Amino acid sequence: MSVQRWLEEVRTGCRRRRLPSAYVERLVGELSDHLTDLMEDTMSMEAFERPSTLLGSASEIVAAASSEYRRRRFSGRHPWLAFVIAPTLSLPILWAGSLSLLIFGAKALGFASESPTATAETSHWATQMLPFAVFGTLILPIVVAAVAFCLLAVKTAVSRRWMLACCLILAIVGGAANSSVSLPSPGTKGSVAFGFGVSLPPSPQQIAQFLLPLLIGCWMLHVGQGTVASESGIRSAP
Amino acid sequence: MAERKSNPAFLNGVPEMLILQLLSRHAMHGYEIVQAIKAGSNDELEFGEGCIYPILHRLESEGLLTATKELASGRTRVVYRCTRRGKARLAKSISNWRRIADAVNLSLEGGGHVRSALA
Repeated sequence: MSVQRWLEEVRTGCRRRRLPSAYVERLVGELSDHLTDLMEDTMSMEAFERPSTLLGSASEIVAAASSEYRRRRFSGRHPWLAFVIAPTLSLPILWAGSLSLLIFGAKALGFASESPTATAETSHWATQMLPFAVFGTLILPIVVAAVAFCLLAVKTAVSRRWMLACCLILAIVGGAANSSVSLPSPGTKGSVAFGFGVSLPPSPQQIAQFLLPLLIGCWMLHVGQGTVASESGIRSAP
Repeated sequence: MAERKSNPAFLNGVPEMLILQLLSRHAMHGYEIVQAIKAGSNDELEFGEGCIYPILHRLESEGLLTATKELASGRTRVVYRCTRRGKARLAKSISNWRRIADAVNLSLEGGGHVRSALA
């Protein structure tokens, strides 16, 4: 195999493993330098004609590059923790935060359970907006978690299956969540309810909660390849 | 000639130690590192030479090495140096390696006792 074809195989293999372009180009450049050094040292063209006999097969180098790149980050060394356990735990925490914000916002508008002080106009407006706000408190954490974990997967260059597994977990947990909030009015107390369960047929909100992380995952798989800048920028000697 | 395969044991922490040891003495580029490892081990350590670069890149990202582009032997090359953190990691790696090697040697020497006890 010629050196150009071998280097191209390394380049293609690394890109297929979703390693960043800058990282791949640096690796290929150094391998090319290494071959030139070998040729100069041995005064033979063997290194250029059969690079895999001396430097290793292209697949071996791609596997080493992919493995070493993943080892740089905690998420690469422990993908089960980062892309299975963490997404499962992150959603309840994010939902607790978003529901707290909703309750805080309602109180700020004068909907305190003990003594609501909101005007009739505010009350009417808030009642109209409430379903959207409740849906937002459920869907926003799902979107934030899906984007964050997909970006982490792209940065770590882990296998596609981890990103898909993570999005599937977010879709299942997210799709099963439902919540209801009622505002207090004179004579009645407000309430917040949160739980898991799927009605048949599922509500449009739950379908959206299920589909959105999957769509984000597919989109990130499509655009994420080779978009991460290399972290191993080489400085020039002064 | 058959394609050269990596020695799995070599790829399990040992290359890091050898690389850090060599670079703690003086700065080198990738080709020099490979030649130094081969010469230092009397060609006993067989590995795909190209696999050294991903390891160098990871060590650099962990702050154990620095990489600079320098003019060496008439060409611009990436030259690696061991950092203070790299030297600390090297000391720890050598200590671990000696402990494990001693334990393995001890176990090999004491193998007869185990057999006689079981007999």
